[in-house]
Amino acid sequence: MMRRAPSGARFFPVVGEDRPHRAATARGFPRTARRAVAAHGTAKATASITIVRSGSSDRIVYVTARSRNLALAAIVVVLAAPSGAVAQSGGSTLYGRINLDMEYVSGRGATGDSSSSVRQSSNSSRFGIRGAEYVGGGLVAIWQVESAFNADAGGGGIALRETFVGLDGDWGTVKAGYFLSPYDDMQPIFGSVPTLTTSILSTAAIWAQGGLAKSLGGFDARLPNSIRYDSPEWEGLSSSVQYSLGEDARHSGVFGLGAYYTSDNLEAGFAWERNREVRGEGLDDDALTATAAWNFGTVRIAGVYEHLRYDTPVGSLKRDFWGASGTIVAGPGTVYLFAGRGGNGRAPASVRVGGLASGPDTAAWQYSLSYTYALSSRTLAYAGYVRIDNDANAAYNFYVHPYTPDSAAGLRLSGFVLGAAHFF
Amino acid sequence: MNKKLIAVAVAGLLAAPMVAQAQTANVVLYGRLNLDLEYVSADSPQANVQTGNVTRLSSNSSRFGLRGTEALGGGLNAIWQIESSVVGDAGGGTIAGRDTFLGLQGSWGTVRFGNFLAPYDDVHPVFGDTGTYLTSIAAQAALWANNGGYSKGQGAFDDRLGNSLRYDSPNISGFTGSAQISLFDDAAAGGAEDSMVYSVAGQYKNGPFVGIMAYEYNDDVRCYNGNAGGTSATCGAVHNFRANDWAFSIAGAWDFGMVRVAGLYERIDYDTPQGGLKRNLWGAFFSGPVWNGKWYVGYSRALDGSGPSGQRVNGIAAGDGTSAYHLTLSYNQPISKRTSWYVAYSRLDNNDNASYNFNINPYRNAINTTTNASVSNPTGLELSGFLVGMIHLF
Repeated sequence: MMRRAPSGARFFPVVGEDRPHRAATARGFPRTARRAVAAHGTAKATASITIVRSGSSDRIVYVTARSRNLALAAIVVVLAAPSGAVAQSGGSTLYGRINLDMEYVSGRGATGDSSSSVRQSSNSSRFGIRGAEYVGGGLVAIWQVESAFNADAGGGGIALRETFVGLDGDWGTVKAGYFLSPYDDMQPIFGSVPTLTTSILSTAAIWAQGGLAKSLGGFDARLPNSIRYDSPEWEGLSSSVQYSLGEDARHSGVFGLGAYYTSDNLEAGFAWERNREVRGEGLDDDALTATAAWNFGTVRIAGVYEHLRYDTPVGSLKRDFWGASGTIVAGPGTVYLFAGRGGNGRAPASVRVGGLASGPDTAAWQYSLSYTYALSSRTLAYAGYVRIDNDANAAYNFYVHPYTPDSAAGLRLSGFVLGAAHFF
Repeated sequence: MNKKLIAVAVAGLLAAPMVAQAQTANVVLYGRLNLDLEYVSADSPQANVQTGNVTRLSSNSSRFGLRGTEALGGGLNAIWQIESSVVGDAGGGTIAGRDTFLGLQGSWGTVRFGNFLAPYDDVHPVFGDTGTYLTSIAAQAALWANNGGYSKGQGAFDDRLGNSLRYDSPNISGFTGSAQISLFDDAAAGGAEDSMVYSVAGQYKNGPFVGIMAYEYNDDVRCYNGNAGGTSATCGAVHNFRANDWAFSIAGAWDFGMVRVAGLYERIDYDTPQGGLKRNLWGAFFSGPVWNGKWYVGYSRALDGSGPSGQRVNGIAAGDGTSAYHLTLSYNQPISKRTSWYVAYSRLDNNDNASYNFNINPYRNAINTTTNASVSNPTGLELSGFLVGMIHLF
């Protein structure tokens, strides 16, 4: 169904995907809805495109309210209404998305040799089942089983994405299973939300070394054997804490902590993640991110700072990352701009973890530019350009679909993307 | 502040439950289970190849999927599908392993991208046994497309192609056209970074007549080290010859009511370092209603290949004794709108130097008695299969 905002209204992407913290309040429980309406009933009006994880499905919602909270509250109220589909399958809902793009990627090595390829990529395509059940005493049981699939060439895995069972009450939400950590919740504040924080356009390339598995030093990976608590929101403030068990003899694990603030125009977040002996005996790694965004109306500006610290045999390997993004309403679509720089790695001796090495010429820039156009409330088209400029000894790569012909340090990578996503 | 705007917002949002319901209703869960019990007897003229007879339970292209359509306005629809294979006989399957796509549909036609069959496959229903859903060991796409028991990376045609873009024209007074490009870059399927597959087809339907022409081109899907062929993925940097292979098919059918008659011609041309390896195939197919069901008799014959001796691509080699025939007899009967059963006989007889195999569920029980190793596709294999099966669509 096609629904356009009234003429003159402004579109804005506010809430990103995979943001369990926000998702919990938007999931559609009447109690939460009533509270939200009471709190924000007098808010002012502006406009946005919001991707909402609701009781029935992920959807792109056009909102013409200055307060996103009002918008969310209204949506929550609406979606709390019983839907036939939910009833017919005993309280479970089938949902998902297909996100495919065609991309031209090229890389130029430090010695000047270059190569390129045309690819079709599936970007975090998924389908899932989820539900909620009121169990009495103000408690709601929530659950989700989300599976990944490769829409470009087949394959995937059952329950390889956000999968959990939990309880939601006035005191917050507790859940157990396999899901992303509070650290990932920072990404929607500054990252490439208009292109769904995925594809090679994603801003989690240098930040968090997001393309890497936990065992290689990545800080934006989905964590198995996790337990998580999300607090309720108070005066715009909320927080989350998560622990993931490594289930090995050295008792490795990942600890994550996040704090968030949301008001009419300001969004801010702080997160810390610690990999405890994940990469090896005695090797503890830390990542800290602070990010904030201000919504001016047609333009939303965000900044991000990250500090990474890896234990290595020669001592700590440290790196700072700074980035800024702008999200601009442009006609019927949204323009997103990002620039970020991971500085030189610092360590007592030469050492490398993933794309990050120590010493001179280990910095890298990432630039990302995209335009997203909503064909309907459930279908998006997007185009973008991304560039990663590694200094001679840095080896960062694209998120989700790395450039594979060459993985040496010093690569200059670029990619043009044309894609579409459909939510169901 | 602007209360009117808020009112608009809330009003808009209150329309959401309609959307929510409609959108869930737009997701269709569907699928089919097709299982048969079959007895396959095999013979080989080779002294050191032992072929045991085997009784099998087989799953034939069983699947489940999700799909939907969304009207975008202006006559434009978003269409999508996620189809997963189900190994109904022994468990397993691949998510999105069957036709999976996202696309746009308008009066100008349909554009899709994803993982799906190519226009070349549209020839199959024109001559094949639609009553048994063009699958199982009875499927006539065994010699045709040089596909039985082989993969695209080995040089087969008519495979599901990942990383594909496809355009289907609208129906213009009976004519339809389709074109597809696949970036055959999945190493798992045997492709390398710059391998491509192109496939086009043109079809004409009018009353009892249907005719189709199709062409598929494998660009650098295989390559050679010296005179030894392989897939692009295995050849790597040391290949000295990249093969560009093609297949051309033309098929037509006329339905007289009591009997439907179809004819098929195919030519395949493989690049080898010693010249082109070529093969022609002819087929005749008959089907019609009987009792409550439908009978089918299909016969296709792959002629001797021509070209350099000593070169083989899948079932095809050149010279004497490289022909083969495939005969299928089947009867299928619906027992409800969504359930049917079938019985079939399938004989695939390779001449001494041909090495074709069944397409779906190829025969894999041959053993080299010298090495005690399994032989996938021995030359000269003579296969006979009897099958009884059942299909349920949901």
